Amino acid sequence: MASRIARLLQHQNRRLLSTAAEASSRRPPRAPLSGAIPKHEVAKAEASSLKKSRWYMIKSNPSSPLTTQRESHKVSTHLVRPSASYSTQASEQNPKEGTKDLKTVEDPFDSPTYNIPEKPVTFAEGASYSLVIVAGLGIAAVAGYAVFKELIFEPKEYKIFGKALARVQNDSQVTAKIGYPVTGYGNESRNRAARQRIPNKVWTDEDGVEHVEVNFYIRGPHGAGKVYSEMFKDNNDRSWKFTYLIVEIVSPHRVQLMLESYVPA
Amino acid sequence: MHQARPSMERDPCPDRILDDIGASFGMGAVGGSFFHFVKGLRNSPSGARFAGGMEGVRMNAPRVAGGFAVWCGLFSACDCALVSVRQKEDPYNSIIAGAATGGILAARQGLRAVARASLQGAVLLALVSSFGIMMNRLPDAGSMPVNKTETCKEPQMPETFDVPSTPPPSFEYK
Repeated sequence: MASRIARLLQHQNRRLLSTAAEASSRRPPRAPLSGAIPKHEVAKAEASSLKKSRWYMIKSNPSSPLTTQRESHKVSTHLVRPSASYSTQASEQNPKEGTKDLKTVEDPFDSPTYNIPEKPVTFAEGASYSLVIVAGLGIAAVAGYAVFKELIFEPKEYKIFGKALARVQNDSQVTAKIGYPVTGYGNESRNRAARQRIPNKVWTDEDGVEHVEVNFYIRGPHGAGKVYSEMFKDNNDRSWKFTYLIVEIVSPHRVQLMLESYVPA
Repeated sequence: MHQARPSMERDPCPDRILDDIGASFGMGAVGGSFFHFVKGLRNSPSGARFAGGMEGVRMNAPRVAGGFAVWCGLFSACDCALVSVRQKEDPYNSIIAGAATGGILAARQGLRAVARASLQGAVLLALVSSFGIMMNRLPDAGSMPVNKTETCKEPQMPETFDVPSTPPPSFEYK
C-alpha cells in the first residue's frame, strides 16, 4: 500500500513538472515588452508572471470554482490572497483520486477463468471411446488386407487368365479366324465389374497338385469365341503348365480348336 | 442347337462411356439432392426449414451431379482406352484408369497436385476392386468342401459358362 501511495505521489509530481514546463515556455514572448519598462516595473511584472504560473498550476485540476477564480483574477489584481485557500482545497481533494486509482489497479487480476473445476472422464465414457478407436483401426486393417491380398499379390485366376490369353492371342489359328487384336474378358455384360470377373475353379487333386480352371470370352475384329482352360502347378519345377486349352469360336463359323493338351509322361 | 447369341453382343466400349455419364449424373443428382436437402433443412431457422432445404437442393444439386458425371465419364473413357491397349479386362484396368482420371482432372494445379490426385484415385479404385473381388470369393470359399468331395477326375464347368451340349469327337488342328 505504501509503495502504491508513493507511486501516486510521483505521478502528481510529474504533473507539476509538466505544468512548470508550460509556464517556462510562455515567458519568452513577454521579454521584449519588459525591456522598455523601468526596473521597479520589471520586478512587478515578474511577480505577476509568478502569480499567473500559480494560476496555471491550479488550472490543471478539474475543479470548476478554480476556473471562476481565474476569471476574477483577470478583472482585478488585488485579490491574490484567496488563491492560497483554494490551493489547499485542491490538495485535500487529491487523496480521493488516489483511492479510485487503487481500485482500478486491482481489477485486472480478478478473472473468472481461474475458477473452472476439473472433472475426470468416467470409466464408461473412456471405454466407449477406446472401442470406437479399435473399431476404426479394425476397419483400416481389413481394407489394407483386402488390397494386399487381392491386388498386390496377384490372384491365381488372373495369373492363369493372363497366361491363357497370351497363348490364345499368339496362336495363328485363332487370329486367322477372328482377326488380330484379340481381347479377353470374363462375362458378356455391360457392367465393368462383371466383365472383369473371371469364372474360375481351384482345387487340389489326390497327389497334392493344385489345379486352376478358368473360362473366359475372347473377341476380335471378325468374330468372337470362348476359351476353356485348365492349368496345374507342376511340383517338380514349381511352374504352371496347361492341362488343356480349348478355344470354341462361335462366329463367324463355329469351330473348336485344342491348342494345348497335357500328356503325362 | 446352340444359339448364336454371343455374336449379337457388341463391344460395349464406345457406347459405355455415354451410359456411364448418364448413370453417374443420375446418381450424383439423387445423392446430392438428398445431402443438400438435409443440410439446408438443418441450417435454416424453424418455420423456414422446408424452403431452406429446397433452396439448398436448387443451388447445389446440379453442381454435384455435374462433378460426378465428369469424373465417371473420364474414368470410363480411360478404361476403354486401356482395354484397347492391353487387350484384356481385369481389375488393374480400373486402378490405372482411376489414377489417370485423378491426374487429368488436377492437371491445371501443378505436378504435385497431379501426383496426389492420381494416388487418391488409384487408392480409391484399389479399395473398390479388392472388396469386390473379396465379396465374389466368399461363396467360392464356402463351396470348397463340395469341391473336395467330388471326383477330381471329372471337373465340372462353372455354371456361368454355356457348356457345349455334346463335345465333338474330333478337333481340327489347322
